[in-house]
Amino acid sequence: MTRLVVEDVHTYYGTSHILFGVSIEISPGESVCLLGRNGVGKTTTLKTIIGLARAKTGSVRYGDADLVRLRPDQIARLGIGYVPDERIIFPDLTVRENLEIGAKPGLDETRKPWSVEGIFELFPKLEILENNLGGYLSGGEQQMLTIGRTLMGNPDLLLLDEPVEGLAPVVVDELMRQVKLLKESGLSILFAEQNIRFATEISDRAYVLEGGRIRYHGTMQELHDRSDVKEKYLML
Amino acid sequence: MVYDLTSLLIQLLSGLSRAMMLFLLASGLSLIFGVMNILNFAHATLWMLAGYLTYTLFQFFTATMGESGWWLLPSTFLATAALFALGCLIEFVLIRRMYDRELPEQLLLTFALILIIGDVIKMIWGVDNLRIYMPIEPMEFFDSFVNPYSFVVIGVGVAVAAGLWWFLHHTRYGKTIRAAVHSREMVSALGIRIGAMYTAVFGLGVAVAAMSAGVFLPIVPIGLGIDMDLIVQCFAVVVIGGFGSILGTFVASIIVGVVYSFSVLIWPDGALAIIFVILVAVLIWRPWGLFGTELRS
Repeated sequence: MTRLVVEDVHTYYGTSHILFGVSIEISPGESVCLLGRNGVGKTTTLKTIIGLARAKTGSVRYGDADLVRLRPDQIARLGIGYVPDERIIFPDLTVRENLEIGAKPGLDETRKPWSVEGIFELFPKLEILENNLGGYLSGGEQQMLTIGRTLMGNPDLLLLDEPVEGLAPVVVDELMRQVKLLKESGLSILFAEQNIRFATEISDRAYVLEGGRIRYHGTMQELHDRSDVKEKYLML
Repeated sequence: MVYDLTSLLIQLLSGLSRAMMLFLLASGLSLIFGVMNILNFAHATLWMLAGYLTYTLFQFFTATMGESGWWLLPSTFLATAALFALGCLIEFVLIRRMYDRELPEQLLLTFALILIIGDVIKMIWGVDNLRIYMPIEPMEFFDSFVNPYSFVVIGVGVAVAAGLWWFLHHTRYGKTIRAAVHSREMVSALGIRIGAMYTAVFGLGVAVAAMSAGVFLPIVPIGLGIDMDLIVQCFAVVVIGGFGSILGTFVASIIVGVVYSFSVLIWPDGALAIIFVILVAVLIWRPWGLFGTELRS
């Protein structure tokens, strides 16, 4: 299994400077969260890793691969799965077809590959909706589908961008349980979140972002004792 | 003039074969626009090039291996394959650089292609109109005589429409293409080589047009300038049907083909004008076309 090392990354959208020297490390099997309010650079950090945004300087290494030089599809085939916060499901394909589009072989041969049936086991709601068009799902169902579709590509590291944002509390609980199951299965997770409570449930360590910079990093336990950091940078 | 049932039927037949030609051309145009947001102004010019190529191959086969209308089959097939390759090459070398550019720049590039290909054709084939004469006996049809080849043409059109629809809805590759219409970034992040897919879709769109050029050679003589007439009607078809919708393109082709064909009978000078009246009406009533989606995301 492979280790992700993001080092001193500066990313721009056009001329606007978004990330100012972000550095992150994730070891295999670890679950790490990026915490911070809206617009601090969490999404851009994930997009820089998957290659949808380009780091102008700095490096993103996954094992021996230099991700800054690769396209998103090449990065995905190295075993990194990306779940965007906009839940981009394909609206005129059915739930099953959405899942099938994501299917590709994984690199870790010791792990059992995902199948559509396996996804239905994790997200029973999706099985009932199997033949419904993606465009007609509720927010929570869309989120399950987006995660399921990325899992179909058998990633070793999952980039999860605010999966429970805007969902009803009962749906949030369900989804958090399911993400926890994924973590327990040994999947590495990099999880962008605003809410420290959700982050605590599935993360071992946290990076706190503000203004495109890492302001704090430590274990979740340590963060809980740092009320100064929480007050300054997080939504409580 | 008396319009009896027979002449109306014959006109309908001619309208339907015209509709099929428009469909084969416009479906490629619509597919390419729907998937990669490129308006290929040179689409009909590539169609025209395929026609000349088919003509030359046909002449070669008949000259070396004896006269037979069946040579149209391998000639069309080879010209289609050649245009698929040329389409892929054009995407790879030129179109690929235009994805993030504005529409006027795309039009400028594809308009340059029209001029270049037109001049190449002039150098190789000259300026005379060319056509293939098929040794087919007219067929009796409701007390009148029609060219049975019209039925072949209509059959090919319907078959390609059905094939294209099946490909887009029932193959994994087709579904991936439809997914990419919605989000290129997401498809790419799922590990799919979007660049290779765009090249293939562009080649496919050009190939479908190329095939229609061959199929129509026995009933539509080919000559310089025909591409401009056709591209304008193609745009009308695609706008009426809705960009990116195969079904919409099919229905709009039939509307435009049949209306044109009957207008020619009744008011020859105004035939094209009537198409544009329909176009304007659709634009006012449903700007996204009969089968298009209201908003692109």
